[in-house]
Amino acid sequence: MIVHDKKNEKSIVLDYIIALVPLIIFGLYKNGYLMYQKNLISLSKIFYPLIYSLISILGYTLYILGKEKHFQLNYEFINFLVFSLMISWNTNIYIYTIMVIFLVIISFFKKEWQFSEVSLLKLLMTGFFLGNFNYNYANTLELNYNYSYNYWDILLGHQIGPWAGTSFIFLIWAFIYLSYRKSIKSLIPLVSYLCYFLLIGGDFLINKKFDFNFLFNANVLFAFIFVASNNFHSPNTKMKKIIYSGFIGILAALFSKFLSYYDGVYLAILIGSILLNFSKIKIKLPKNKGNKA
Amino acid sequence: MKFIHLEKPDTIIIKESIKEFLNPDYIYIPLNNNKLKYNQNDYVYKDDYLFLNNYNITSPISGNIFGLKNMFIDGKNQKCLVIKNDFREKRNNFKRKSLKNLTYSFLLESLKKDKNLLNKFKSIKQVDNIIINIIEDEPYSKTNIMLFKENLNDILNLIEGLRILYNCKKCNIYLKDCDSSIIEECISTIGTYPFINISLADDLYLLEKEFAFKEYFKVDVRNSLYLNIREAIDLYDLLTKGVKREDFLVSIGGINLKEKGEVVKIKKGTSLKELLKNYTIKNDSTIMINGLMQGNPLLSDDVIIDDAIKIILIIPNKKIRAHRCINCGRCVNICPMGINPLKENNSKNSKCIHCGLCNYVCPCYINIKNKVR
Ligand code: SF4
Ligand code: SF4
Repeated sequence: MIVHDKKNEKSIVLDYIIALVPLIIFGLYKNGYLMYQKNLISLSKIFYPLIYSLISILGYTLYILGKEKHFQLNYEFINFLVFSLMISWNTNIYIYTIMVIFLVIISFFKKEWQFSEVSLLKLLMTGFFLGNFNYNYANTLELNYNYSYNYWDILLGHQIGPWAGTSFIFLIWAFIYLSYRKSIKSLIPLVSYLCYFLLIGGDFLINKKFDFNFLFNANVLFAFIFVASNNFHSPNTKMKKIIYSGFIGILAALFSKFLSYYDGVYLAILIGSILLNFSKIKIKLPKNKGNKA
Repeated sequence: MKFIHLEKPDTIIIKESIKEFLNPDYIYIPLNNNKLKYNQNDYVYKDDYLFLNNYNITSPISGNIFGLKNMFIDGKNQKCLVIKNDFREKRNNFKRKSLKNLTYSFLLESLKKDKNLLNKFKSIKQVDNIIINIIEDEPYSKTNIMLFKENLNDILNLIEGLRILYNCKKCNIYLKDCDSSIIEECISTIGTYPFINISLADDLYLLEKEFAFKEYFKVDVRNSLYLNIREAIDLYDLLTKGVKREDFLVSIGGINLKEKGEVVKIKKGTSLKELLKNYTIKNDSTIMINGLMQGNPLLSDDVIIDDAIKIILIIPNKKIRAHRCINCGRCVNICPMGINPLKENNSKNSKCIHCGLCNYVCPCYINIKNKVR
């Protein structure tokens, strides 16, 4: 018996799962059902993307059994689940499995120094560090048809991107839900997307070229909500949160615009999360020994 | 500052009645570097001064000086003077003074024995609003409200005396709306004082603390005289009797106590062991001194109950396994004192008021409050 807030680690993880369900369902609809309708895939393949999540859950099980000796829902579960949703529909399953094994190892041994491990692994997987800035996120349907998306398509998520991270509307819902449940550091997605939005919007105003797709970028919003605000590598105090989010928001805008539309934001988060470690280092000033008489 | 409503199960109930436990066999008074006035076996009367250099400490009982013993008070091991009770309550007679013609100079003179109260009255010249705060933060505790009920007439007399002294028009007594049943019992008495208002506050945490109270109720600090229930009673005693009283109230209860929880009136310096002899405690229990939010588990049996203890809870000795910190920042954001409990150099942090909010919100059940201590 204890006087304690209702919120615990397990309920935080459950909140994340609830927030992600609509995105997963929409991802299955877009990358499964719609393709099945056009006879591009068989009925059983509608649920194919869930294999990534299954591999992630197995990876997490491995991690938690190694760490705690029994299964329980820890905060790390969010990392594993989110990792399976932020990849392309046609990711090579073997490469993905290797990345999940890396995630298990990093989660197991990471202690003092924190960084966004899922961002690092995603960039490794897409060959970003080898100069591949245009990794292919399109599914078979998107490859075979030439689309021009209207505003509604972009907001709902009928656009190219990670298999469960293209719906702007469901992302907003996820953010509102997590903020209402106080399960997320809500200031981080808010400030970072605001900075991103202002910078991209300002660029459009200056150059008089408007791109709705860039401004309401679900891929970037997904990264800010589910990756940038991850507790382990994000700051706690209000001021640090604002500086961190402002920094990654600006970097994300620059990298998305000039480097990689899909992966730039993850590089921004990776840099931001690594730099944050330096703010924890205390600089020891030499003690003033005073003057001897 | 965030004011939250605490989630507390209804498993602990403390009756709104007072049981007296005023006859302990021994009384323990901490020495604190004071010079003893009496020798071993000397007889002391009730309310006699016990030390040569400190007129604040009087004997709560009559009896013989038994000797010295080391005991735990407020978590610290201290040398105590032990008085053996003769149960005769012999005292040099005294009469309480009336507060009808209270003067400012008499007020300051009487408060010399309590520096905090003295400073409070010295710093305020004009009083437009007298506030008496009965609110109690610690879940399950009924100490403040019973203290108020028991001393209602004294408190009303005090407010009236101060009101006339300062020519003040507004007097407010604040209590939680969940304690309003007590007010119904007292309302006819309070009704005879037309200047005194009762204000009910929501059941929010930390309104007992002066700084939080003033922030929540937006009190104009310049012209308001704020007293909590204990200060009000101490003030009344100092003005009418010249010394503070030697008995006080403590709530006692818990799931592992076979009897129903209650409020007990005890003498200052009573040992906890002696008090608990009156109760049946189930096996495998933990004794929480000062409650589940602000308190700590009892580590030694040799504890003396003084007025810093307001509630004693006996709960099952069930350990909740803390996880590792997930860096969620909830403890940082909730702290009313603006402390970052996650910082390593917090152990010397004197700002911590041990409110326990950081423990309360931690989703990983980490006892972070103890790290700040
Ligand atoms: S116990 Fe201390 S550190 Fe914890 S919230 Fe209260 S004041 Fe802050
Ligand atoms: S509330 Fe608990 S888990 Fe969260 S940062 Fe504080 S100590 Fe860590």
